[in-house]
Amino acid sequence: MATDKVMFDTKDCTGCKTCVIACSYHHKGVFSLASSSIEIKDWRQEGKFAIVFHKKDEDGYLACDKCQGESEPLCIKYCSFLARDELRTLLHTI
Amino acid sequence: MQEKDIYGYAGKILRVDLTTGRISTEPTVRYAREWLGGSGIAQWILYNEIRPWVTPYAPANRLIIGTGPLNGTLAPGASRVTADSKNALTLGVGSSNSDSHLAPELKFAGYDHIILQGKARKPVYLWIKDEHVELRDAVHLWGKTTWETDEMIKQELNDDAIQTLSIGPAGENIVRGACIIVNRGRALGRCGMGGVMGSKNVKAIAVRGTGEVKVADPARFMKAVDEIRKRFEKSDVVREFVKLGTPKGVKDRQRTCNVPYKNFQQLVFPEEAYAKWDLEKLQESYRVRNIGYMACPMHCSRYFQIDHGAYAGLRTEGCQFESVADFAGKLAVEDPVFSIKANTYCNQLGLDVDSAAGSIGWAMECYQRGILKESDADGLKLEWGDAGVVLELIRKIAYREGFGNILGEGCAHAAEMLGRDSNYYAMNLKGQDLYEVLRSTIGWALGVCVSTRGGGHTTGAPGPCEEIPDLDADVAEKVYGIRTVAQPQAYTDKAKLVGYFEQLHRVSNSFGTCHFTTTWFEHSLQGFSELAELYSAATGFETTENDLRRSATRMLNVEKSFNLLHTNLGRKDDYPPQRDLEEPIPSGLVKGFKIEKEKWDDLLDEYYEMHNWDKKTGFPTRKCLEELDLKQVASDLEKAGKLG
Repeated sequence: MATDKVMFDTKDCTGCKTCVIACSYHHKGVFSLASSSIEIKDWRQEGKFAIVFHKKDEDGYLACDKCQGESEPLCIKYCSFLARDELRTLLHTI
Repeated sequence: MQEKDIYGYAGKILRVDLTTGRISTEPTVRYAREWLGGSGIAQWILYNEIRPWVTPYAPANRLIIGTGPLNGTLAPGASRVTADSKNALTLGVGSSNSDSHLAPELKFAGYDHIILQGKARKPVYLWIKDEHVELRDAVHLWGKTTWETDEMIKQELNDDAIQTLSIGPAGENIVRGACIIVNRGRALGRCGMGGVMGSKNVKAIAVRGTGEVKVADPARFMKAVDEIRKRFEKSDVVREFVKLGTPKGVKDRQRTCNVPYKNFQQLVFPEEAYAKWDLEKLQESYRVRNIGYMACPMHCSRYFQIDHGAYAGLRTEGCQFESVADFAGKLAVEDPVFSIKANTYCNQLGLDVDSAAGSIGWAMECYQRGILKESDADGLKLEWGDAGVVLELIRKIAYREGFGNILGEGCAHAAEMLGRDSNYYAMNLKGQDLYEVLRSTIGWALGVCVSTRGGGHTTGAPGPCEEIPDLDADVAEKVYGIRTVAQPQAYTDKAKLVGYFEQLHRVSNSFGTCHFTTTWFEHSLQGFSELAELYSAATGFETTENDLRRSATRMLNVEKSFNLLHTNLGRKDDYPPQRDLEEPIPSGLVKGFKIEKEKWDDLLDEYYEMHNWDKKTGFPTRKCLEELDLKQVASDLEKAGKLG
């Protein structure tokens, strides 16, 4: 059975969550941590951030469509240059 | 306009009366057009709701947590949250500001501001999840550090995505320089906001928001965002900053004589101490990753993991340059890792690093000069650079224990209590401990000295732009309106430069925008016109650069008037500390340079004249206030005999 969401540990992510609200803008034209295909798991007490991509509409999250209709996925476009390559690689794997 | 029609803003201000337990909301639109947001709205509420005789720790004081109309959107650098209240150190304007995820989270929950008033009968914390707002028992959290509090609240509410603001033992014990910590590593540091929160018996605020922020014209807004973001992508200065963070200031400040070494006795690190600050190597050894906040293009924070040496096992976010200046500079502790350790310890105890190092630096200099003895300091030898003594004094301050009870009042009040001619060594402005070196950079010094909140460099002081040696005069004139920006020791036109930044900082502090993403940091980044475009597109309130500048000038005059109505601050308090007027710079690139009292007199005249304030007293005139549609404020000042 295909998984509905996938989580990755990150090395370069800065935990800023800009990708999360960029994603919500793609889906709904508003900024929100909830109406997004992305979650950032913030474990800053351990210096760790993980990224979760939702592949199905569930619990308020929306299925990632790789930003159909946009010139590039908005999560990548608005990601820090420090973490953009990592995010691009992760997004390609889902 | 109805709440549902509001754009940019969340739409509601939450008011919590801790005495009665009553929780209510009011529409943000009541204030939005005139006072923009964040600190602008908060200061106007404070002006109207706090009478001059109310002390910072009286239940009638308000503590206002604020966000701006750009927080929660993709506007570059819109990640700041504010806390405003009556200042615990100056008794006048109090305002502090921090990066974090708190501001967007609060807006997603549906609120632009939280006003706390009154006093709870026992320790409580405020839990906000969207429409659900509740005061919860915090007796079990009282006495805990901010780190423990953050963790316990997340466990208790079973949600690790919650954002918290909390106080530590310093705030509970009403230490003057106590601060509020966001989660674990960010501080609403200045003006003693932690003690105000503690005096209200509020241990923490916990927030979770699942709503959204809408902008009025999404296409126009995103176009403005994209145009500004391109500048960050192209800037080498930004890349360098991202690489080293604010500790990059160690190099710049050493070059420009801006290090407060041994309580400002020297303005550079000695060679052997400076040699230990190999920033690239330090980052390689300890940095795990950069940390950033929502929509920030700079990511200047860091997560450090110390795995060897005296502080092995330390894992934390931080520290900023300010902690380096405080602990390696003011207190001369040479081990660079100590700045991270001391910063962490202050965060855990909820103590502002500038205040802690301010009073400890004063005490160490008094000890150096024989004014204080071991017997005055609970048997401690207050030797420069003694890491153990510094940590012990931080602990004593936070718990108001023994000698720490005096230091916990801040250096100005401590010197008053001690006497013995120790006030010359109490480096403060208007009663608040200084972190800023004033002697080598005139515009910066003026901005810090006239700051309504008592020192600080985020309400008018020109920033790094004044220290860039190769800033072209034509570019400077185009961006900042004067040609002498990059001449740190020049007095010419520096009042105008401060005027520019008094406005820019107030706009940023109201929008929730970080100063490092503006022309304060680098001339090619966002200024008034870019911020006006973002604001217009976000809120639908068509606003020009001049509109923003006028709003900011109104804010400044309200703050100035608050100070005049609540304190006896005046022209005499807009001068640098005595040491800065008497002692030339002892060594370094600008060795021998000194602030001349007569030149400072003229500079203040020019500054007051620019604002239409009375030159003799520094008081705003009726003409100035009426032109700004602040007629009531003019009447208030007149009644108090403070109209210029």
